[in-house]
Amino acid sequence: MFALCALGTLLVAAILQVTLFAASEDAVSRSMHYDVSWTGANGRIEAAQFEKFAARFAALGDEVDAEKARLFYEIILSRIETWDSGGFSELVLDRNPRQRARFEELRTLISSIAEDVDNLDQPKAQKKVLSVLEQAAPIIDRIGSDAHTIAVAEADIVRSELEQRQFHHRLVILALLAGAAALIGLVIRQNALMHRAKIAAEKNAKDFSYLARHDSLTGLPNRSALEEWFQTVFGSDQSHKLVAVYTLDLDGFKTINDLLGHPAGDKLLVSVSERLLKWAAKIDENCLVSRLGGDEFLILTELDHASSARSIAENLIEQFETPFDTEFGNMAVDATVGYAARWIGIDEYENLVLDADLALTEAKAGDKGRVLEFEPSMRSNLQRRQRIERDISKAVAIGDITPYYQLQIDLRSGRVFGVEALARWKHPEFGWISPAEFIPIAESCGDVVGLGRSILKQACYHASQLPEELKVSVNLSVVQLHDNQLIDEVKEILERSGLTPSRLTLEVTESVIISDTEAVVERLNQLKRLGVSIALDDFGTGYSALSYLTKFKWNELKIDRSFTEAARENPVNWTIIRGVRILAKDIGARVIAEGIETPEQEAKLANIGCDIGQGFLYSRPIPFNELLPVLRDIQMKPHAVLERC
Amino acid sequence: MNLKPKKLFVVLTTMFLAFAPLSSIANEEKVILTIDGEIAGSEPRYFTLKQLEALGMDTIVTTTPWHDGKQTFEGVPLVDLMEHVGASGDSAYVVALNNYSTEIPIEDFSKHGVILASRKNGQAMPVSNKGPLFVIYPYDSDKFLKTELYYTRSAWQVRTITIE
Repeated sequence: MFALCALGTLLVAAILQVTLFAASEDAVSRSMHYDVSWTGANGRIEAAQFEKFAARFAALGDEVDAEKARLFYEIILSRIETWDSGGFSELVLDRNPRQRARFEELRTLISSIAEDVDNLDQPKAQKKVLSVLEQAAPIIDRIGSDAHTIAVAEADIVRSELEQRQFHHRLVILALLAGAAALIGLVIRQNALMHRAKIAAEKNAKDFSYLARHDSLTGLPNRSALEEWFQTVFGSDQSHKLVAVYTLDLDGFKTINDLLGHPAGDKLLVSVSERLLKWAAKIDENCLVSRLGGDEFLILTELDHASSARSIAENLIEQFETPFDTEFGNMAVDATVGYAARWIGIDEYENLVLDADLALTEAKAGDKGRVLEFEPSMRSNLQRRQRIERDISKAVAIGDITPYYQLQIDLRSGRVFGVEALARWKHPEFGWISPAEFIPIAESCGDVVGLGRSILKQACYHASQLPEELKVSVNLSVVQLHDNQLIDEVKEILERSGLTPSRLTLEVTESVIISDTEAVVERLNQLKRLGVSIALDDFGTGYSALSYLTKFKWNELKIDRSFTEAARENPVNWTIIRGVRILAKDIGARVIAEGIETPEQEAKLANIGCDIGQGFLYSRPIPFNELLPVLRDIQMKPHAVLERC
Repeated sequence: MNLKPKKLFVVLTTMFLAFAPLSSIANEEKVILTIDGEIAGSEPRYFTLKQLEALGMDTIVTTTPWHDGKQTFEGVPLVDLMEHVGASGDSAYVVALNNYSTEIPIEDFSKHGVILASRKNGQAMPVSNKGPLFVIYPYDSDKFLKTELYYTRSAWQVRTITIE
């Protein structure tokens, strides 16, 4: 817009310039009138000359004077002609009618003496010539002086026009200068803007690049910064270097998030990253701490000796012995570390990182300790896990994963109370896969909903074929419980199988109730309204916040097998079981004791008052086709199950 | 009028010699032009109308500030005249019958094709009509010729040319 105005100014100035130039041409043509003053004055001189020569001839009779007088008469005639044409006539004579009349009178006077001039030697002619000249002189004077006045006035007009033009020219030049200055200013401004934009763009690029390579929460470099670290450490050096990669994961971080909320979890992560940075600075100036996401950190350092890899890992774990101070209070959290350290070339760093990650996965999965070094066998474990992940959906679809049933016995009557359905998978290649292995895999890859639904469907169908008084328990995973389809699915399965809802018990673990308590309680109540019983599985392990018992009216508490198993060594466990029994009785829930392997345990638990018993004493988990004969035998011969299985 | 004594003498002599036959243009034998100054030979050159026109004539059709409308002038090109008299100076000092005088750079003659007009619209010019000789530039051919400078050089009633 500004540029357009400046250009407009230039254009207008140019047009004005052309117009003014045309106007000054007009002024030049006025110079045609240049000599009106001169020609007027000359007329007066010529008349005076004529009169002088005529008078001298009259007085002295010299013929030369007569000739001169005749010549000047001719010249005066010429002068009159000159006056009557061109610029003089236009400018002086035609200025007003009186002037024209005056001139005509002069012409008549001069013409009237033509003969007398020829006969100048006659006194009469001389007298007439002099007398006419006497009359003509004032007219010539008048016209001559008027011509001068007009010429001066004309010159004044031309001068003032020129001055005005000069003034306009100055304006045009000023406008041009202003326009040019404006354009230059604009260009400078544009340059400045572009320069600023360039700086801003560079800063943005830098910011974006920083954001892209750093974690926004902790400010630590993220995964994409790893390559940079390796590039820096290796430089252009092609030789191998001894590098250690540590991957670290906080234990139970999800629980902290669930219990205290994400802001608290975030503060913990920030606090952890600060401590890790301080620690890393002591390890090596080139030691890099990065956050891969969630609660997983990765630490890179160059080593002097391979043997120091382990001690650094242990030192790293020790950093978690002191609680972390956050604005949400002190938080104690443990960590698990997987690491890999060896001589590598620049092109092998990705494998080293993967290996450390694998070691961490192994460490988290098993109880092999909180620090685990990578071993090549972990790769085959990984392959097995990946294979399981890949095959699990298909196994569910074709019914390779089926429920096995373990008996639940009424400890008072010795009769069968019901069965618990447990998922079993016979893999065509790996053979039997433990649910402890494939269920976490199913949970992590999302197939657990389909798996749970399949087991529930089969279990209900099977149970509908069992004697009316027998119940069936099926496990429900956290993921299933959060699935909005759950209620409708359970309802539909019950209807299709024809199983009376009261015969179905759904078992959930404590971890289910920890996350999003209100929604989960609501979901459980919906299930209860269908007529289904709800059992709290693995009771007594984990966090075991007793407040859960007040938030939901459980139908059943299942005491974890570890209490029964440990009671042989430590009788306090019996006391705990007794306590749970009393608690359960007060809230109107049945108590099921798991892990019963001996008649002594059975007797003790019966004595304590537990309602139901479950364990190898009665049966291992068996497929449905084996279940019916076993049930028949037990009905006829209570307490004889052990021999059968 | 700013004549040096020597020139004044020449002018007066020429006037004297020329005056007797001046009253009649019809007399073609009458001397109407004198050229002196830096020319070939030590004597001034005198020309009658006939002699002048015999040198060859050019025609200029132009407007002037002193006539109404376009006029046709015929006369000897001054460049030819200068050659004819062997002029070797830089300027021509031109004096008219009414004692008007002007100085013209010689180079003007070739540069602008200036003529010493002896006829206007085919007719010889009497003194009463700015005759007998009139310095004419082709004013219409160049706007720079339509200026005071060239108008003042355009002497009429020319009687003497002194080459300096």
